[in-house]
Amino acid sequence: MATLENVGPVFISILVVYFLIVLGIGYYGYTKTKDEADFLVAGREIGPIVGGATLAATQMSAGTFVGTVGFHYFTGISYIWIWAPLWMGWIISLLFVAPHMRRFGEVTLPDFMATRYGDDRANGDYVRSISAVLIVIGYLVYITAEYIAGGLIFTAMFGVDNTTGIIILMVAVMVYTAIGGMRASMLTDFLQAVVMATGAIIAIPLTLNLIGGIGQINAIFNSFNPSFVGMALTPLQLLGFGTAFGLYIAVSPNQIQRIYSLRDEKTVRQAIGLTFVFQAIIAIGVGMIGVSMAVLYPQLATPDVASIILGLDVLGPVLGALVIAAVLSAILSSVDSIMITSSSALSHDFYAMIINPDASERRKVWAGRVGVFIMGIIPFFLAAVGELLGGLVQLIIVLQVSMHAGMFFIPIIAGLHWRRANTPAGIASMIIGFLGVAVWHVSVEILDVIPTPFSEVMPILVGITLSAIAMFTIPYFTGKPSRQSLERFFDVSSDEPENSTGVAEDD
Amino acid sequence: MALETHLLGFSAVAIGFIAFAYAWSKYVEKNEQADKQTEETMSVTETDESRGES
Repeated sequence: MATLENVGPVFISILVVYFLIVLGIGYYGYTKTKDEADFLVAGREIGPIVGGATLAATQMSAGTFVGTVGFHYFTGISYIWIWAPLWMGWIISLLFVAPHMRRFGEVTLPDFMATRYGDDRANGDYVRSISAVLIVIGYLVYITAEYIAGGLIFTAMFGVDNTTGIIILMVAVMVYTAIGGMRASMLTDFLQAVVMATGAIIAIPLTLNLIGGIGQINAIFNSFNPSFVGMALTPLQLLGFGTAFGLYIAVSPNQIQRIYSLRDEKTVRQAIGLTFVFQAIIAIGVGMIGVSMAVLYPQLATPDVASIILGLDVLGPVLGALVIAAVLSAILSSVDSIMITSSSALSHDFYAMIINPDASERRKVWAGRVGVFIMGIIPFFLAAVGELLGGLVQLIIVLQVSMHAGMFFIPIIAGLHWRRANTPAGIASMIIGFLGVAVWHVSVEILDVIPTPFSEVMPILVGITLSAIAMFTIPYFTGKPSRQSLERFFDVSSDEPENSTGVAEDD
Repeated sequence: MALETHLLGFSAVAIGFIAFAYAWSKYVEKNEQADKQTEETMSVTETDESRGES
């Protein structure tokens, strides 16, 4: 197996040029960042093409280029079908979430939670704090998965040990994100989505040529493992994975912050349409790469290194460097945007809203940068216990998306479309959804106390069911939401006047 | 099932999603234009009526 030492100067030159461009974009972002809105939502100036690419690049990370390729390598082509329920999540977002959120037009997801579920006698601050903490917990799990993937890549490329690989990645991402903010993150995403799509398109004919065509793949697997080109995963399993990703995509704190960065509602709709184009190309690319690598290298130590071996050993210096750049880009692009979202939860929703409401713009930007460093360091230690979170990169990411979907899907959809949804229901739905996922994961994967067949139920299904029960029962035992919490989302002009506490009279 | 069946089926599904997103975007745009036109017509009518009264 090749490492970076013996791939030649052309390969290394292309990698170096690529990352110089990325650093240049980071510096450009730094020079353009004047205030908190610039750092967190890029001044709300992003158009549909960059927006569509950035939505795709943010969604697709090491989870896609390392984890999904690895899962295809391990199970075959049928895993490609998880994209269909995942895209249903984008359709839910297009119809019921994204344009409404852009119209609301704040900075972070906790801003929404604090406004819509703001009847907590603290002007929404309790709700803001709870949602910010839960976002950060979920994203610590996510960054851990990315670090583990990055460690594998650096080990394969440089021959360094896993911990050193993770440290290199951690330092690079923290410095880059802390300097550039959201504008640099989104421009880099655009470049990375184009590189990923181009790499995937060119890699398919090259690998097929090496193998001898699709017919040859069918012939090889039909002889000893037909499910690899048939259906290795049951429709129920695909639906379980896809549901976790789909529900998450519809309400992802990270994607919602990207949506706040887009120019207007029309741009949001166009960007979601364009993101399908990027994603379809990349989905077919990663599927074919995984399947082809199973033919070319059937004995890899871990499925998660399939894409990196493809770049180093199979594709030649130019395309190989492009694919490696795409994989590293995927990690960089996702971790930096996750760090922005999480650091904004810490700086905007904790520091600026609760601890120091009078902070200057400059102080808030620096609080965001400190948040980036906090979010960068904790996952380094979590990576040492990655097995408890699921082990394989793809499974750790499934845990994170399940946590966020469990806590936010119901409160956001209900908050935007059901006037009766009130603050007690919003808080309970969020916490119970999160706990449902976390407790079920721990009970099944760590404590092993749930018997079969119940242990096959995915955590997201438990979390989302409990969250929905809380949301749709509690409002009938508690008061109506106040006019103030509804007025930015519903027409309240014909509502009854409120009582002295600011809460509308109950039926 | 063969590999190409998955790929063709998946491509068809992807095209479906892209077409839906495009059609929805156009539909909303058309509705917004119609709403805007109605508002403009109503404001012109109101202005004419108030001139008539004065």
